[in-house]
Amino acid sequence: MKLLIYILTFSALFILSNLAVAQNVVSVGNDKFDRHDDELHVGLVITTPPRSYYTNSDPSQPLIGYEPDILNEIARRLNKIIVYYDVAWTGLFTGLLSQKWDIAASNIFINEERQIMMDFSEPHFDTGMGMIVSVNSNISSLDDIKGKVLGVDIGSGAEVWLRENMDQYGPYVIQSYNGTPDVFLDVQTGRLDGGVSDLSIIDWYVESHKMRLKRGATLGEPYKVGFAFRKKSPLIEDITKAIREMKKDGTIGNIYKNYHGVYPDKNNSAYILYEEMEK
Amino acid sequence: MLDFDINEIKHIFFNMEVMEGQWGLLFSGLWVTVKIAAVSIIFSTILGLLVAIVRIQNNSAYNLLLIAYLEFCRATPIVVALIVVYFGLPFLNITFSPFQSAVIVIVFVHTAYIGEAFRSGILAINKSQNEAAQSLGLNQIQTYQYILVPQAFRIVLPTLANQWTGIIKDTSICTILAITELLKAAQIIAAWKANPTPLVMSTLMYLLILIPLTIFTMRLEKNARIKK
Amino acid sequence: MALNIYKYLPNLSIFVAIVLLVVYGIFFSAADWSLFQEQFFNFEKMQGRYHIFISPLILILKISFFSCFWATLIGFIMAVVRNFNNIFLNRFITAYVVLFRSIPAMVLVVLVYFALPYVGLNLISTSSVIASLSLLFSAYTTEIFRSGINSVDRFQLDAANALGMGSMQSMRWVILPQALRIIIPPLTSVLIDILKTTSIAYVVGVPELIARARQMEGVIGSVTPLIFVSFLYFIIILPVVLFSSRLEKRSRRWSKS
Repeated sequence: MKLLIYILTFSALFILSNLAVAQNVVSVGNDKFDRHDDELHVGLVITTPPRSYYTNSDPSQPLIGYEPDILNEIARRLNKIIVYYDVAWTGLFTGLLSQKWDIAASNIFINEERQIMMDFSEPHFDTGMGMIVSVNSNISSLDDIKGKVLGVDIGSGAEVWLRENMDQYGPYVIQSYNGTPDVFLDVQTGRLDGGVSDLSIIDWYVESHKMRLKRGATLGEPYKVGFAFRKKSPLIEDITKAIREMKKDGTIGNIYKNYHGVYPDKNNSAYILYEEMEK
Repeated sequence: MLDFDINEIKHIFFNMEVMEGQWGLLFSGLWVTVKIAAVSIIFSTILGLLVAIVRIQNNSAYNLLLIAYLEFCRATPIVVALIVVYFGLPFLNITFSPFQSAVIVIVFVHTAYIGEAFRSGILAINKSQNEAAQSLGLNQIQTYQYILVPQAFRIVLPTLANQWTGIIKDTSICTILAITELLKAAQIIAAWKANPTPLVMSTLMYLLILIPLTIFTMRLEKNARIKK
Repeated sequence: MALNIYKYLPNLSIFVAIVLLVVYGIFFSAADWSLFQEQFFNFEKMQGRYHIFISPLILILKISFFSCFWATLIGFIMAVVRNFNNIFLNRFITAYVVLFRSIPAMVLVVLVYFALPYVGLNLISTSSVIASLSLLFSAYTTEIFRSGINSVDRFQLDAANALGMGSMQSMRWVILPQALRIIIPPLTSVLIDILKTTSIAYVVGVPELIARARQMEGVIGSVTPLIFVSFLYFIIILPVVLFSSRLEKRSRRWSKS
């Protein structure tokens, strides 16, 4: 009996220490939030400069990038504390829908399929998808991708686009990766004929790998980028309001310039105020 | 804390609408998994046997090398090895396809374990059998072929089956490479549809293969224990 | 062994040499060895970045410690319960062992992290890894403890009963001290497996060694961080491996004598 008591005490102690040390179980029932109201929980892919990354990949440095800067500014204006979660693309929406975080913020293209599952804030950026290829590749337009092996990040807009347009431009092989850096790496090794990702990310990467890589074809139309929320999230209104204010006073334009070197043109969502978001 | 509404669970984890039109991808993933596992099992078993035979010779140079190899494999996580082979070696202009990298790493690591198993199996055979074989005029290779290896196989079968299960399980780690095996296929669909049903389906597929194998292994282990 | 196989050894070494040459010829002839040092052991670029690896290192040790603790505890309790010989409990435990011996670690981690939140059990990445590893390895520890307990002679239990000990008492004073000797060597190999398996935590976004290395790899354009991390893993695990090999050797000697 004594032994049983020992075991029970020990396990109780360890459950407690577990909770304390590894900040372990964040148990979140369906609508029983155990989070503080003054926190914004943001899920974010942090391996994609210039959209979000650590300086020198040193996690003790603050997270920077286009989206973190906007979010930090929003948090400052709404007087909230921001909590970032480092996620892979695979888990970004799953984690959002299953309430691991309340905002998904990594360069998310707003399209109809996603609007079925999620609500979006006002768009704050326009960007397109492009292809990154090795310097001596001859892929310059979408007509050249037939029969090629193309890499994408799992669950990204690029993957969906490639699958949907297989009939028009295909057949080609889509290879899914657990992260954009892996895609770019495999374009360099020659395992891939091209990697499809966001244009701003590609441009940033090509800039530092000019010897080996270049920008290839551009895919599809430009997309509007916004923050994703669960349906009817109470946060949308506040954040959209903050974004609109930041558009008006040019903050978003300045942040854009920090990472792209130039100001966005006036037709970019970084300046446009969308009327339908008014209500 | 948990709400167990059966319909809800069915809707989330066994939502067949989500899977519509996606089974092809999942099954092609299963096929890739099976291929990796089969090739790795065959190669690592053969190589393991060779390693064991070399170990048995008690040549100190080879032994030192092979013991170092064994300890190295025991101390290296497969994930690390896979990443070094797949993402590291291309920096030296050595480029393996994902399938090759997967097979190379799994075979490399499991050969060490299987070799160790075979070694103890051969050592467990009574020494007098060797002498008997020699007195029958069998040469060295024949002794191995007809006397030692068949018996060793029977002795190490539980361990071997265990390792094979391990190999099949390790194929799921290859999801970190650019290869659409079962788990990766499931993740692709799950991310696309924002629903965990494909993950559950892939888990069921893994279990469908592995549970019989595990039960078989456990039965073999039990028999071996009883024989002792 | 009393075999005279040494005469085959020259052939064998030639064989090995040929195999190595063929492998080299097929795969490595394209290798540029001047790249080797620059890409794999470029510690100049690593200067001033080593501190990044401290917290992930502590994190994986923490994950292994807690997983090991829970796995051992669950395994021990199950083995003791198994000893009660209740038919339903036995069935349950057997099913548990079969299930978790069958399920691949990667699959379980992904499932726990991405699927369980839908039913309201929302674990952060670290705890989902700890939970999965504990479940997985408790299946092994259950069997280890059970075989340890079974290895003690049944007559000793009768003797303990005759001395008026209850089942708990005889477990504590008679069975466990003897069983531990048999249990500990395989338990260390479970510890090794746990340490190794923590490396899959990176798929669910635990900020552990490999994740950090992969990030840094992109920034400095060299695989050195990865090599450094595999070296770190190696020096964590190797002492345990050597310790466990020695224990196994010793226990083999015990069982012989």
